[in-house]
Amino acid sequence: MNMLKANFQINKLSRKEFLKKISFLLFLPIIWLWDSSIKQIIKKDSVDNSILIPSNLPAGVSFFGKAAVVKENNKLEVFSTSCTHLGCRIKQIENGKFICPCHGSEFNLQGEVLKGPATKPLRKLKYELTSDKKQIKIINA
Amino acid sequence: MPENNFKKKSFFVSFLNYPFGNISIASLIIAILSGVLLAITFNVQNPLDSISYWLLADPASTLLRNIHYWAAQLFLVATILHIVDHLHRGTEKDVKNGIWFRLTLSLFFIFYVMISGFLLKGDSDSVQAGRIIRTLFEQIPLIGNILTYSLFGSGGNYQIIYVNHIATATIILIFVWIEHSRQLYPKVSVFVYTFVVIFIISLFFSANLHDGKNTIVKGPWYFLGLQEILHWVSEPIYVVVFAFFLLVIFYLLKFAHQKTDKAIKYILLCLGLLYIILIFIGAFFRGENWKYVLPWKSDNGLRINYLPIFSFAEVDTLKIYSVLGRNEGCLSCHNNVKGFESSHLPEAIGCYSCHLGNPYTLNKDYAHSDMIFIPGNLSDANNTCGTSDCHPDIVPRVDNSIMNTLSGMISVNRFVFDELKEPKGLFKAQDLNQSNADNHLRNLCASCHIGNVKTEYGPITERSRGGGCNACHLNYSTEALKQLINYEKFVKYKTHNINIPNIHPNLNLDISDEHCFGCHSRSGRISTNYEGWSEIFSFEDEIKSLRQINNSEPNLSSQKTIVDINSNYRVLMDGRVFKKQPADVHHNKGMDCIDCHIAQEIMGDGNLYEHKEEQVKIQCTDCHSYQSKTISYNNLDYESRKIVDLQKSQRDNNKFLLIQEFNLPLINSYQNNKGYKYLITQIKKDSLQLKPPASICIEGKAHERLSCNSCHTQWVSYCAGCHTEYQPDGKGYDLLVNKEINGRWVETSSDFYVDYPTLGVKKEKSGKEIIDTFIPGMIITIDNMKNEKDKKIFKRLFAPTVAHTINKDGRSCKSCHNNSLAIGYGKGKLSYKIFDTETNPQTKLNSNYDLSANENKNVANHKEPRRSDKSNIFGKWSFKPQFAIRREDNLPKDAWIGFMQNTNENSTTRINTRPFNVDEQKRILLVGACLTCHAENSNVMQESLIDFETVLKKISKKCVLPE
Ligand code: FES
Repeated sequence: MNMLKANFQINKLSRKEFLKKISFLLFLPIIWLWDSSIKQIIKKDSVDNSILIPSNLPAGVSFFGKAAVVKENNKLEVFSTSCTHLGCRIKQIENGKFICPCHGSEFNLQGEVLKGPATKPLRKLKYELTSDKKQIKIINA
Repeated sequence: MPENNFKKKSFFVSFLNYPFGNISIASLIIAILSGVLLAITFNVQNPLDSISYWLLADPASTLLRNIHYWAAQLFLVATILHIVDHLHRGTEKDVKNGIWFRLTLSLFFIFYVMISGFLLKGDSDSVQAGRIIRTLFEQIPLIGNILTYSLFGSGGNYQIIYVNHIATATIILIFVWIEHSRQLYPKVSVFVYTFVVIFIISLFFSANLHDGKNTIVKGPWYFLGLQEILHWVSEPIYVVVFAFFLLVIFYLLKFAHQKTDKAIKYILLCLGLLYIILIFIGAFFRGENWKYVLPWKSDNGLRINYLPIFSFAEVDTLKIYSVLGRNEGCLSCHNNVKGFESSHLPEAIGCYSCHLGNPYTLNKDYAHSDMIFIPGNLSDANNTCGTSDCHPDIVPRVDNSIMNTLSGMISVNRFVFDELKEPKGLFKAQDLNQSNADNHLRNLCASCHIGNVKTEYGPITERSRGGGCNACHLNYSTEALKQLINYEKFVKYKTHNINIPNIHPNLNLDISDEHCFGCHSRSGRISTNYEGWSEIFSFEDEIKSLRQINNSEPNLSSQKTIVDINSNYRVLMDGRVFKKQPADVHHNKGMDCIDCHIAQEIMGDGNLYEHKEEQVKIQCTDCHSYQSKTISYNNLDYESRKIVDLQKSQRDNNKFLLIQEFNLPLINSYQNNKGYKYLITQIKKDSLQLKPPASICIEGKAHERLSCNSCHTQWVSYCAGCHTEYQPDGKGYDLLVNKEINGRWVETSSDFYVDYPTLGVKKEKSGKEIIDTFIPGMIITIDNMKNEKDKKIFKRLFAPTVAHTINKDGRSCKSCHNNSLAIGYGKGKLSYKIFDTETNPQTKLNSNYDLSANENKNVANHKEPRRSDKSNIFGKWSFKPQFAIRREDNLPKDAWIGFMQNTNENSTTRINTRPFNVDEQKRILLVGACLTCHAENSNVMQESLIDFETVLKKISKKCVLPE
């Protein structure tokens, strides 16, 4: 009988402990809700982020916020101005190089890294001419 | 009294005894309270607008913001010291595990509350910092994305940061504070001290607000060490892992045994000190683009603004204007400034876009601090005209343009001084050193580059050099000039009251020839040539008196000095005297420099060029030809279209002509549907019909190698022979940096001559050789050099020239074929004689052809010409130079080559040019021999233009060809 009682006590204690131990599981559904709500909003935010720019650009580099257009020998190349190091916006050309203001990474007009800390080339962006040919649509800027 | 003393003492001691934790809590409370008050007027949709408005017009909120800012900084510093203090005392061992865990976690929230506060400024500094932080958090494995979004939201949306800043993080910090200290309030004394200190600092120093123009991006001071680390680390994930690792270590401190505990704390201390050093490096040794720069060479530092609250201007009556989406204080006072074209109106771009200063204050002195009074110099163009909102594409082009680099001037000059083997290579004026050649250039020529800084108000005149964008685009209206003169008088004599000028000089596309004149009236002198003036040395009395007029006190109203006596002489503002010559036909038709020279060649196309002619795009044949390429308005590039719109040069939907080689539009031209071509002069707006070339220019083989210039250049002005020496004792001037120096170079030149250009050969990029015009570029002796005293240099170099003295008719045949100067021998008597060795070797059978006597009479003066196939009769050219022979190279001073001689290769200032070789000289003189008998317009000579070889085959019995 005594033993039984002792056993029971142990069981009772264990149950409490057990509940306490697994209480953190309650967070799981919350984390799931958190995770999926954020995924949803990120999806919503990234729907159409293409930008329209005039097609008759001068030769050289023109900046359009998130994108930089390099026109050389009538060839267009569009780059994301987000530095591949830590995402700072590149707004400047110096001596024919893109220069990141934050930590000084340098890229040539083909987007290749000339000087670190960045190691990856600037992201090339796809573009297409609008039907009236007056504008360029930069996709996924 | 003693009690009072004791009280005072205990007050002080208690402050020392419980400093950091209490200060930290006190500052947190102050930050929270001021934050709550700030939240009332803070607009999270547009933080920058809120804060700039406070700075301009709301001293109370500004003070609150300062208090909030300084309380937060103090909170951070005090908390760190508090932690150091406790770790030092080892009290972490007494704290319960759970509390210690939450304390460790709160380290992250301290960082978060600080950085989110920084991000909530919404200025360009915080926008970039936000990007870095986001990317760093995204590196965290698995939860990176959701954590980033939850803490910082998406870029450009401040709501999540705001909520976390004022609620989540603050609540967590308050919770941890109360839980671990079991104390709800700091000591009153500490609170009072803390508040007083914060309040006093806040009265004087304002938290920074980045103006969006300054290109230095750094982030908050405590971020600078991290920035420095990130500068060196390519893979940011290492930094994230390391930071996490530090947090874990910190947590484990509680469980570490004595030895390990000490070691870890020691390491943490070292890392802390290292971080402080990194902060200093980041703050004081890093400038634009995180480049290394010495502190005294940059003004970045920690960027704390001294802006006393009581310096707020009376704002009740003033309106706050907003331009380009930002508030700008300048316009509250300067709201009636006129004189601009639409794109530069203050309503459109404000004052700050160009003049900088501080747009976020209405206090005059602070608003005007760091202002750029004359914007547009290339030294500041990146921050003024060339910012991303304005003309970012143009400034780098101008930087690279030959008018800024002076590449050709540098290479030729170094070549002359034997510092370069060949006159080629890419150079920049800014890189000039102190060698003989460079010092010479710095002392005599280096002011003529567009990067030379304009430091004085007033229009561009004959005396102006450089000025960046202003060099071309600055125009004073009469009213603006009047106001300026009045203002300058006021500043000088303070004799009258004055209204601040409100008519601003205009910045537009009316680029008159006067803008170019300052520099281009020198060296090649194309500006003066074009207008029909050639330089002379003259000391005649009448000109002396002209000089005096010019040397009197400069008067702004007579900036455009042309002093003109009987229209034959002109004395420039710098005292040089010019004589009237026939002007260029394009000038006579009313064309200005910019009617031919398009934006892409004046401002450059971004490429570096070795010599000026390489940057030039336009050619005569772009206008004067039977074929032409055209382009419609809709297909114009952005820049050209903008110029067309501004110049209103579009005519009835007609197409524009294209510069054929480069496919660049000539935006002031058009071709109508009948095929007629026109040019509209950009300033006077006259319409000129563009005529195709005469048939003589395009028919036949004889002259197909000739450039248009070779025939149509009426005259060139040149000097032949100049002596240059260095005088170490004289006072000189370094024109590159505009300062006085010891020592100077002195040039003594020969007389000026006006004559036809010499002709020579130029190899084009395509490999084709053409005949073009040349003048003596440098026939020079240099001695007494700066660095090598005993060295002597003699150079005889001809330079290709485009004189800009075009006429319609072109020069005569004889002016080339019978002209020693044209062929390269220099001035003199070129004679063709015919000998008959049988009858009398000395007898002159043919008359002596004297060019000077018969130049324009197309009549030959021979009597009995003989055939040359009789072996005893032959013709011979001879040359008698006008000038004495120089002993250095046995040539007269103005010669390029010796009579019937080849030359060594170092005789021109370009690697792709050369004088005529003997073969070519003979061919020219062969025609010259014909011209001694046949008139220029005779049938024979006209036929020979089409096909000389055929004409030669049917020469008559009377003809004697040169041997
Ligand atoms: S973000 Fe561009 S260099 Fe770091």
